[in-house]
Amino acid sequence: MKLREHEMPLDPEVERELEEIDRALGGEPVDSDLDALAELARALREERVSAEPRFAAELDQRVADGFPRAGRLDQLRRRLTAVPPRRILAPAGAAATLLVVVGVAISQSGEIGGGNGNGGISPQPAPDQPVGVSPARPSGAGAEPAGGAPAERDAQATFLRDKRAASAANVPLARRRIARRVDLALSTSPERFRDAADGVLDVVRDHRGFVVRSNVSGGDPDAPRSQLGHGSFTLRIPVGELGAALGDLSDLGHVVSRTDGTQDITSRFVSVKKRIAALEKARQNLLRQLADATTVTEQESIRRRLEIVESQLSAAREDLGSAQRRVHLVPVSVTIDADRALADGDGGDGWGLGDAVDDAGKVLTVTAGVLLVSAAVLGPLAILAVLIWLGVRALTRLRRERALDQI
Amino acid sequence: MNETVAAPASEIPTDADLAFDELYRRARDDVHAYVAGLLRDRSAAEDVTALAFERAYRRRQSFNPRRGTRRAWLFGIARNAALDELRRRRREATLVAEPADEAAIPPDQGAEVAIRRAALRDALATLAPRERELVALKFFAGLTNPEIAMVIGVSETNAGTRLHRVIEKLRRACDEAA
Repeated sequence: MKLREHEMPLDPEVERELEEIDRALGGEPVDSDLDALAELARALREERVSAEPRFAAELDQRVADGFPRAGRLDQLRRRLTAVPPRRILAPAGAAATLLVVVGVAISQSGEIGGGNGNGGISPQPAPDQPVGVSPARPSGAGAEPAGGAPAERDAQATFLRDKRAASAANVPLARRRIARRVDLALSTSPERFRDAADGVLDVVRDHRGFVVRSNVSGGDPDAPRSQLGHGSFTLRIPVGELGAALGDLSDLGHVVSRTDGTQDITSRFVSVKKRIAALEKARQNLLRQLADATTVTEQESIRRRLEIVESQLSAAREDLGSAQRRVHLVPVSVTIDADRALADGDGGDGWGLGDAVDDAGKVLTVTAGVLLVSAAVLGPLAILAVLIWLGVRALTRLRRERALDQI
Repeated sequence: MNETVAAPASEIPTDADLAFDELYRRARDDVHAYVAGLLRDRSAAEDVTALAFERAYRRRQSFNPRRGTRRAWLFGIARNAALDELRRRRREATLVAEPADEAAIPPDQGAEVAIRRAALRDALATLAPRERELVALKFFAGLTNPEIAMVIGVSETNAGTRLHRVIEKLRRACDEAA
């Protein structure tokens, strides 16, 4: 087996000579056959340069003073001026690159995830499915000739083309039409159930909304569990009043759940408006053709087509109105259930032990999330920093060793 | 009446302070001799020695006895400082060794001794920097072979072998000069 150099024992003669050198340096007698070696060792020792008394005294004083530091700024300036510019450029460039990478990563991370719409992050509007704006055919419209008349065909073709082209992507965010929907589930103590149900109507009135449908049953505090109060309300609240109205509604009981939904119906608006424009243009054309028609048959044909176009126009306008109402009057579904568990002191609207546990859980969840995100950002940076530190250390060691070879 | 005067906590020396003081007292001249032998420049040797002790002072709390003796640790710091100085000087100008101080040979010594010392200095001047460093660590600073091995980062056997080779080289050079 071949031993590596550091595992190999010293040659006995070499070892003996080294020991004799140590003896000679320690002033001890050496073997007579190594007198010359001992003399060489002592001569080498005499070549040692002694420190000047002045220097020794100065250093003693500095040690006694504990090597007082110069001002931080002086130290920094001294360090910076001692380093050649070309040695600063590379680290500065690396640091700048790192900053850019981190900046980009952080900006990109904002686009990752995005939450579920219920976590305090603005919900992403769902792309609109083109709503059924197919023209409502008037009764008797089945008499329409196969292939349709030229003007109507033009309008239809224009509509279809516009519908395909009606990409809502170009509409600025501020002008986008967002339809919202809120579902709110409340619970109250049986004693408060009636007040809460009445309170819903008060809130709707105060915020200039209206009740589409309501259904309230039970409500007797002493009724058996199966007959406890239950109420459901379908409301329409003006979009400008929605936030305040939801706040007031939430105050009526314990919020069991709340679901906010949004739908981007910009494309529906765009396509309906374009369709209306196309139909109006077709109608104008038909009116001009009617004025120029010379025969009764021709006039009758144009009038039939005109009726069809006007019917479609009316339906489209109705569709537009419906879409506008959908945006401006937000459907809010409210359910209220009487819950006997809330009848005791800590239930109802107060903040109790259960709420405290819930809040603590939320705080812990958020804290864990923040820590996780921080670790995700800082972890790679820390690994990078450690790698850079190890690399710089190895490079410095290499350069130091090379300094001995390149004198 | 007994009165106890307590010094502020910041002025009470710690174990690390005491150990550093002792290390400084024992090693000041040795470190200077080693650095001067390596750099061959008294002025630079003073600067580097002071810098080495300052660094050691600042890091005195981080000394780990499991990684070697305090003396080897100090010489490791001094070596790094000296090599940094060599690098700095190499960047700025070619290193010019300080000429040997002929006057340092006492005039009362015999001619033979003077000749031998001159031969030894000539032989030392022919050594490569790594070889000169070994001489400086062994004969100027008085380090043991295990300490030398620790400072230059090789095994003890390797350090002993290298040292022996250098001594052999010096011995041959001196014999030839004689």
